[in-house]
Amino acid sequence: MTTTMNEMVGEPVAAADRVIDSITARLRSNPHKITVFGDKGKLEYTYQALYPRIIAVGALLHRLWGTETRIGLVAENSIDFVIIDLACIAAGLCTVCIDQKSTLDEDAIAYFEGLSVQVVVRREPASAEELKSSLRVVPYSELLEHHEGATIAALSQSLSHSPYEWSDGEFLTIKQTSGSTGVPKAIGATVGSIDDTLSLVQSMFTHNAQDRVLVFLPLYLVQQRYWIYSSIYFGFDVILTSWKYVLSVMGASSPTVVMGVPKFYDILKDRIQYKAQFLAAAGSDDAALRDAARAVLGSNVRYMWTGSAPCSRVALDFFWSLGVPLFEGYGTNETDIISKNTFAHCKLGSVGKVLPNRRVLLSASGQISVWRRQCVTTRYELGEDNTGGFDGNVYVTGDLGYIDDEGYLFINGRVGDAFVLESGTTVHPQEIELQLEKSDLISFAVVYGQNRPFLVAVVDPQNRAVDRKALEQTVYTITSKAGSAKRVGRIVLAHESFSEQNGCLSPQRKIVRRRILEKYREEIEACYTV
Amino acid sequence: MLHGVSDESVFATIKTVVEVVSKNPGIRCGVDSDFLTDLGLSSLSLVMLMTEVCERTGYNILNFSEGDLTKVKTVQDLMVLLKAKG
Repeated sequence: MTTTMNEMVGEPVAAADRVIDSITARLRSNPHKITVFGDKGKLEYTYQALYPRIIAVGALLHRLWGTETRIGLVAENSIDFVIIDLACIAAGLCTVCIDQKSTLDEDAIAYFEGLSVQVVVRREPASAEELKSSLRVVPYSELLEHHEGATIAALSQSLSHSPYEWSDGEFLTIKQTSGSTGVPKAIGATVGSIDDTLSLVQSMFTHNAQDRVLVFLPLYLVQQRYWIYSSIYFGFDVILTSWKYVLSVMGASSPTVVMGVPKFYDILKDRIQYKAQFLAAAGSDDAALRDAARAVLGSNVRYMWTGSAPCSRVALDFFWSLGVPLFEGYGTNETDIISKNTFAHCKLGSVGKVLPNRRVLLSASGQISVWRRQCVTTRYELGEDNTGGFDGNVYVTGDLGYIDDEGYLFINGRVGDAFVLESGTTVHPQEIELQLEKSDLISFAVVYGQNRPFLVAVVDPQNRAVDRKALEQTVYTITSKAGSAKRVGRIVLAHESFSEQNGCLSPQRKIVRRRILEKYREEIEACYTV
Repeated sequence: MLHGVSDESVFATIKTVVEVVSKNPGIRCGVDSDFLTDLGLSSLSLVMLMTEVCERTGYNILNFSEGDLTKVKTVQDLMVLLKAKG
């Protein structure tokens, strides 16, 4: 059981809007639009124009597979995927989405089979290998282009009059997560939990008809699809693109709201600073930065949203100094959003105050557990212990944190990451790493020292031609502020930038600590033998 | 030739942008350099690089499919891609 040493309770609020259950009906005469930027250029669709296609695809899905089947969807950031996903909602089909892949590998097939998925819808037709599996692979085109005939027309009419009625406890979708051991796990997202999250986000940020939300992270992540569901229900526009195009699309499309992972904001900052160099000659540095920011971000950004990993303080300060609010938040796949900085309550470096209908419980060691009224519920642990993380209806996050006097939540590490130095000093490495990553010289740092006399940091520098002595001095200066016991004694310079490709970063661009420490084990050991 | 611009000029543009994005003026960058493993770029930095190169060479990045962009691993790959659509 979690020992409650400290507790922060979000204010209870009235029942959430029934967003998911109302989406199909709200499409019918909805003037708001989704603008897609992709390799076909810029294409605009109003929801009311998409409505007949969504209903027809929903009718076809219903006819083919009823409502008892889970549909596997290989997601892509395209209008075709949006139509099929919304059609599944209209028809009452639970989706199991995975990231874009041209062929399903063994892991993907095992994942779908483990979740009793029999049909997988994706862009390409089935390959010869896939035809041998138990899955039926259906190309997007088969659903999008073949909905003529009297039967489908009748079903469409029926679905149009009475779309599927979702109940709070049903799974709308199954989320895929990487799992702490690297074995994929899946989490059922209930309609009630999604309605609760979407209603709360709307109450915090009051998105309105003038808003255009930029969505570029992959739509297999349900949190990205939330923006589409919200835009239909609450009435605003969405700009949809892929992360490969986003830097070009952003300035041209002038979004009012942007959601990105923390490292995206580092890149945006770099791009603004780079462009400002060319503008500085024509005016003051400050004016040049603001002009560059308008060119890169567009001129209408109302706020930007981030989470999933700690955001660098440098990026936070940079955007706030330009008058562009960047709000950090906190949540987990198991609980969805838990806390968020907002216009009303914001403290940089924190992840905001706990939101209504949630409780954060802190154990004596600072471990965060979460209770929320509408649970995301069941985890499907493919190959993992299926009780992991849950203690009754409370989710034990494995994150460490604290609450300050004003009620702001701060995250400072992971339980499993803490270690004890030879001296007996307990070190939460993320605390030190976050301080180091505030430096302009450092992209990422990983601190090690289990049973060792001093700390060693593996450093991925921003500039690979960095002067090593200057970097070492910076690391020593920053870490000395926490006292001699927590000062980094030596550094290991990463051979190459941490990336997803070399396994040092997760898809959410979080450091993969175990992998980095394994990779640099010899160099780390050498630091202790010199 | 791309838009009447020579291969040398395209390479020079890419090299200049590599220096900016890697924050490493004078970085050793050849046509065979791999953006991630040789030049130390992250996948997000590579997106910034491709966006900047397209802007400087007068190209709309939306002219390239995601598949085209995903295949870009080296400076040579990017030059070939730009030429193919030129």
